[in-house]
Amino acid sequence: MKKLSFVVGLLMLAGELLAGPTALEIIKKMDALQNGDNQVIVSSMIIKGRRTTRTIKSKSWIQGDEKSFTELLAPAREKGIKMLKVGGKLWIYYPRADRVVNISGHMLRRSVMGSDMSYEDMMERRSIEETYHAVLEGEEKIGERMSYRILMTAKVDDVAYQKVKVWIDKTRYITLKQELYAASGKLLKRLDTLAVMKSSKGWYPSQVRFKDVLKEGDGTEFRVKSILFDQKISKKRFQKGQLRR
Amino acid sequence: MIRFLAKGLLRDRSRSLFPILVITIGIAIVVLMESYIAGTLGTMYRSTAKFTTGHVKIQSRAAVAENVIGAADLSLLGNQALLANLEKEAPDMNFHERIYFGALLDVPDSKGETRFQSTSLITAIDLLTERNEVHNLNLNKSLQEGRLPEKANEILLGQIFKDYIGLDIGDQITLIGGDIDGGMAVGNFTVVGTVRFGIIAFDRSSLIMDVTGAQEFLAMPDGATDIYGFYKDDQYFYHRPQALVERFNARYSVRAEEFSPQMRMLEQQNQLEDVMVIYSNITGYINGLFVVIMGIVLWNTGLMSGIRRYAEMGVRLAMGETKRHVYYTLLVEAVLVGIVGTLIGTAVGLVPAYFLQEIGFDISQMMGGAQMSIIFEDRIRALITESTFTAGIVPGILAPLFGALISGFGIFRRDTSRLFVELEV
Repeated sequence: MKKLSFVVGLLMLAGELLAGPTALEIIKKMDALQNGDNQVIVSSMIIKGRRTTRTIKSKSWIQGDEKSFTELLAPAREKGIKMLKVGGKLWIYYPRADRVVNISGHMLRRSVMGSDMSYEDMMERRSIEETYHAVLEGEEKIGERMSYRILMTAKVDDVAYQKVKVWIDKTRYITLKQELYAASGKLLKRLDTLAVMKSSKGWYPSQVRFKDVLKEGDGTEFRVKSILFDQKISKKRFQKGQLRR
Repeated sequence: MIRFLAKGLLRDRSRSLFPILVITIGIAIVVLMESYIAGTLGTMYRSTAKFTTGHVKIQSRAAVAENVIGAADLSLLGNQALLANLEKEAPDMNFHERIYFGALLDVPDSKGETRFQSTSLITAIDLLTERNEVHNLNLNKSLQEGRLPEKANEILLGQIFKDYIGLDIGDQITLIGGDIDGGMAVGNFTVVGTVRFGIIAFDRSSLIMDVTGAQEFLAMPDGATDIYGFYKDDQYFYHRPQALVERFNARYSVRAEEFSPQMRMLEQQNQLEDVMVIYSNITGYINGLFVVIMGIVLWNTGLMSGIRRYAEMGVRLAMGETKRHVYYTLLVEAVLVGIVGTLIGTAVGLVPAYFLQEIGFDISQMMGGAQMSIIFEDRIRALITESTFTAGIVPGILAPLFGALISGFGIFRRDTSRLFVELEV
């Protein structure tokens, strides 16, 4: 009897190993590689409009999912604008008006600096486990890379996108492609990873194109210049008083 | 002959006074009605033109194609040169840059942080130069509190909006929006007065500022979302600017350049062509129906005049005048009476029409004591046009003539002997 139990146990373990990771496990592994306790990122946002292409340079301090502080470094018209996110709240300081403005409610749906990204896209802080059912649909080749194709369906009503399809690199565990859908099934936004870089934790998407498919133009490109994980960030960094400094 | 008949009419007032009186009253009403309907159409054109369409409006081809209002990124640039050319090419019109856009209105508390926030619709017009649009939008009369802006960073708020936010005159607000390149546009503005737009949606969320303030805010110093053109005589009629529009677009509008300018006349915007045709037809039918009714009344007058004179005709026939001649004189007399009645009636009708055109009829009490607003006028006005002078001709001259034509048939149907008996001569 003991022998039989041992064999059955062994078979079950082998079965699990052969079945591979679940959708949630893949997402958690990707999260762990891309987000440490905190990050300090220097990046550029290239917004391709109908008349001009603008490049906005910024430095961000990010603490977990709850807190972030971003300061815009260029161009001159936007230099000095600071954004503070704490939990579900977002404040923006505009040096030209010397005003701290709280962005909330329907204002969160507006575009960030004319980009294809909305404030809402920046604000989601709950874990995927909390907000979506994730199902591994299969594997697919994106460019030269094999990826897991995962379908996520919203568990809650108050998420920006009711359905999300994500393709995650099988070996590097980074997002290669993402499609964001409305409840009606209409595609709203699309994300494509254009380049990757090595970070202290592994691979990191260094160039990403984010496209609001309902909007004219060629989308918004994010380029990461540098990323540092697990830095010493003062608690003061995430206080409102920091906005006017 | 005509002189003889005219003398006869003058000397025998029983033949002329009553018919002329009836025609005068009828034609005066027709003239007044025609000018009133023309005035109503004119008021509709004015209300639409001044706030929404202009008599003509110029936007970028992209803004026209996408049918968007207030998209700063689709604005026209380099407008000063274009405006200078337009002044030469259309000397009978005034052109004004306007900017319509949306922004977040944020009201600070004592610490400079958000106390109130709302989306707002901004109308930026020329308020500060000699060519300002203060009169165009009735701003002086629509002003409810405070004064008009005197600087680029001063604004007027909708009265309801101001009360809802709980602001005082002199308070500061911040506007946050997107500039011409999609960048962040932020600016502080001072509330110097309130206005009444006349449409609740505007009164709740709109504000007015000078166009240079908006240009600075949106980072487009020589740009505007729209250029509005208005005829200097303030009169508009269907397809009036068609030749100008065709000339302008042939010269300036380039299909391959989405930011090149495109001019459209009033009825080419907001599907107004159909609305205007329907409205014009309805008012035309009303006018036509009234003319027909007046025609019947006047025709009846002509008929009565003819029948009433059967005794006279009997005598004339007995004296040897031919039936044809009697009939002919009856018709000429009817035309003379018609001409005189139409002339007097038109003159009489023009007096109240002119009064209604120049002074108007105050309907603010009927509108619950509402005062003048930017969009709507508080007075009904008539409009005297060429057709006001000709409106009386058909009913005034033709109707009595037809009356005489029909009543005169009796002359031919009677024998001279029977007429003697019938007419007790």
